[in-house]
Amino acid sequence: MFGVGDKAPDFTLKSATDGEPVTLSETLRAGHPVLLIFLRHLG
Amino acid sequence: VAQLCQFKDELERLNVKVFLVSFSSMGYARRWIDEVCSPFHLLADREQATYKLYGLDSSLLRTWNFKIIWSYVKLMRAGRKWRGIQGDSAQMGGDFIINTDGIVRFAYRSHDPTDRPSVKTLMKVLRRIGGNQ
Repeated sequence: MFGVGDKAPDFTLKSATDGEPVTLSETLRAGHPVLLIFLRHLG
Repeated sequence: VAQLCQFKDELERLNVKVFLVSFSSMGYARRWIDEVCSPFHLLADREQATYKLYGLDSSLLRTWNFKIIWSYVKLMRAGRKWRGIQGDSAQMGGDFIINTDGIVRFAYRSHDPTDRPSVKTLMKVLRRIGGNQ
């Protein structure tokens, strides 16, 4: 399992706002650090 | 997330994108985000494939025990609305911070539903990498 200092696994997920695919690596390449929060059913 | 939303202006200054990954129904999740913090980006992972990719496990035992049920009761008493169970109640959450080189700078996998890092901790890491790209 990866941890701090490792490369983050890339993914593509659909945006709930506009339905467009969002890819982690493209966001990072555009110069944005990413805070990734995995929600539960109660948030 | 509601606490984090108070820092949305600073997060924008730091150029940080906040992705909220959800496996519950999009209608429900969208309404929830609209109530809490609309500038954050909500992403759908209905199959929970990205949860698994990031090493987030499931545990019914750690989800439905006295401590957790009591924490929900306290939330309801504090005014939080009960919306019922949406999707997989055993799925654990997690929080990750990734710098622009694609390197994980913070990783937190929840042991139970109440186990999340503080907003203070997240902001500390984000400020550090924001000033050191």
